[in-house]
Amino acid sequence: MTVSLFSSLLADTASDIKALQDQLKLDSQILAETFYFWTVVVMWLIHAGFMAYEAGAARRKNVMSTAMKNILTIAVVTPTFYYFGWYVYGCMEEGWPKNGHMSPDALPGFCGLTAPWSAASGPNLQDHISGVFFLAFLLFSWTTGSIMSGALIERIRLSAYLVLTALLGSFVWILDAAWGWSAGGWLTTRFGFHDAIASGVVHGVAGLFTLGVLINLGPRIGKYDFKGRARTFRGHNQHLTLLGLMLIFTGFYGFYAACLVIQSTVFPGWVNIYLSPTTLGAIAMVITIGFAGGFTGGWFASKGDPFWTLSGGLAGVIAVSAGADVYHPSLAYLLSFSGAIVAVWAGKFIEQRLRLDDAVGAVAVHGVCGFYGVLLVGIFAGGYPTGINNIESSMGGQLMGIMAFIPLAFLPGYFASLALKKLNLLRVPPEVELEGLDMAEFHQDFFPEFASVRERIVSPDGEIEDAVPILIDAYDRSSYGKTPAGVGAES
Amino acid sequence: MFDAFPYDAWGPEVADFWAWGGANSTGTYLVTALGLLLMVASLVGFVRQETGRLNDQQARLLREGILTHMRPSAPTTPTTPTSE
Repeated sequence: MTVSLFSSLLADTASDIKALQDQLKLDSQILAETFYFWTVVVMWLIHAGFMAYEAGAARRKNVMSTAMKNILTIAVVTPTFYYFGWYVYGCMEEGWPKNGHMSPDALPGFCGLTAPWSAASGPNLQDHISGVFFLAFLLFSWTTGSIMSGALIERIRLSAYLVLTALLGSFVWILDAAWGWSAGGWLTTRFGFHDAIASGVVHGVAGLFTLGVLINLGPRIGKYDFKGRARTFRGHNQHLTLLGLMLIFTGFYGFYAACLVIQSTVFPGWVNIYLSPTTLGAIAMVITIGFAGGFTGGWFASKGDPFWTLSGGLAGVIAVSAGADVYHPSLAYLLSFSGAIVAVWAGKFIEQRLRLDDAVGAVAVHGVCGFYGVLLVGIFAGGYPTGINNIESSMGGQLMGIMAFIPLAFLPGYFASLALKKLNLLRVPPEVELEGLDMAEFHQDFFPEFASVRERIVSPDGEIEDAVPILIDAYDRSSYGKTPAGVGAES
Repeated sequence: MFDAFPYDAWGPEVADFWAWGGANSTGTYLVTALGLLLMVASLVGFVRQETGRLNDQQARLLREGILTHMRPSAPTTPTTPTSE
């Protein structure tokens, strides 16, 4: 009798415990779902920020065509990433086109869940995670496109940019993420490659892809004088540019948070993308002090230039992102300071020595500092165990990642833009560039109530000059139109 | 509370409806294919539409003279109602 009663009580208790466990699991999943949902919301600010940043840096005649690039990035990269980008991430961890899902190191079953026709890619009441996890990566993809976007403004065709950003956002960066920014990626499991918050895999790769495009795109008309010295175009609204950067910084907190994984019934606490333990507080400390160090470095390296001071903040954070889960805040402060200095120097070198017209310094800030950040992990976080195989981070592993990413990033950007150039689909006609892209694309001036003044340009000597004769002269000197530009109503 | 709400029983029916017959089904393959088609067509459309616009504008600028279009413009005069 007593035994029977005890058994009955035990069965009831076991049933209650099972129900509680199920409820706890569901709550944990919904908590993770909610967390990623809000990181995505915050990351939208990155794109609002990039739009404001680039539109402000554009001359008045190009403001809407510049902003429209950022908006249509969302229209184009979202479906391309859904239809094949996510599958690349899930199935190419072991390289391409090797079957990543067959590898014992790859996450079991993940590949099959990333096809657009899979149960995880559609509405599924049993799956609270796949959708928001996909969205977080989608927002990273938009970011790669936006990084490239600013460098190319005022002369690239909108459609050429969209084709290139689909390639970058839905194939190039996500393939390197599969290799080196996943728990089962071959760079992670074999070499301990460590890039926790994507210094290299997002920023470095997008910057290097952009470099390949810039080589084929060429500078804006009038950017360089006949001696090859750089002039400076004055953006129509620097306040808007700085506001845009501040929005990007705000969005970065969402970006950082989305790079971590949390689900209490699976992991005992926060883990990074490689499933190594960390905390949200640790990376939030690093990003905040990274901005402080970056602003400081940018200010001093640029001698107080507002644009480079804020870009220095971005560069500083990018330089410490790869090791953000490991660095002590003081170390992050020092390294971000150095990252901003590197960005300012690299920006001047790219503009003045390489004579590449990167309108917003994207290659320096994202490309150079992204790979700089990856290198810093090899120096300052060597020995840290990375990933499910606990392979120690090392300079060799970091260099292996860089050697894999440089051709992966640069070559597609270079050859895809070269192909578009050969087809005469890369750059707007020179006459349209002189007049401004907004008139050709949208047939209107977007500040109709404001009188326009003659365009100004800053000479290599720092003098502010009337831009029109300079631009017309540059047009005439080039091999552009058969009819000299001066032949017209005013000549 | 959950006992009074047949969430589990409704779940599969709702999921099947939402997913057009579920994962790896003909319906899902079909909408995926249509979506891919729209994706490619929109990219081609962006290129073709912009090429037409740019060519037209370039031809107009060459015909009318570029300098005409680089002169400063006056602000658009707003239409103000006249008081009677």
